[in-house]
Amino acid sequence: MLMLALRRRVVWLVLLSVALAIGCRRVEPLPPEALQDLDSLAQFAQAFNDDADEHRLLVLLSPT
Amino acid sequence: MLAAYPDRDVRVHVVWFNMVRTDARDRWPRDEIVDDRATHYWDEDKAVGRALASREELAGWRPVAWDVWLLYPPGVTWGDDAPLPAARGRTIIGTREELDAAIRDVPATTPAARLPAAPTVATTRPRAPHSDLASTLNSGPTRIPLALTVRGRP
Repeated sequence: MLMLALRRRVVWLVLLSVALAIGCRRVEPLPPEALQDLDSLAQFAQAFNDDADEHRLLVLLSPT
Repeated sequence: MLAAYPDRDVRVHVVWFNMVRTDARDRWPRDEIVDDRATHYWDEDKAVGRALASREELAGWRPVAWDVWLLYPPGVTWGDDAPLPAARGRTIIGTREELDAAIRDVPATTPAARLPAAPTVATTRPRAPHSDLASTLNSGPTRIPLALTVRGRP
């Protein structure tokens, strides 16, 4: 009985470790230069229209 | 969410700008929305958000469209006015199911990728608001619940 309980704990600890390893994986950050400055709305419109043959997802966010 | 649909033929334009006091260009979270299909812009003048909110149909987003997503089908172009999307949502977290459905409905680039995407299991680990956003946009089908307990432990 004691061994069974111990095995269960070991299994749970292994599962917990795997879950933490997956959950804590980090995405490689983009380089700072990947953020392009928009000088005008026309500049963005041009970029938007350059991809007019595809679906486009537009997301507007603030950093914090 | 984008990671859950790696073969969807969609270009992603992510426009960042200041909206609250703590915002700043150098606080751009570089590890959010990391995807080859995404291009990131810094819009100091909030021009894109203002242009969208100037549309009568999007008046509820005035004065600046923020924390929103919009999906446009092929063929739509940006002219004198901001174009109206086929689907949209605000806030991103609050409309993530609609956003997920919208991306899922975009055709895949290869026939194999047209198979249904695996269901996403949301993490139950407490997260900061921006982590929620990262989870919404970057989460893939392999996420698993983290709220495990060890039997017999307090």
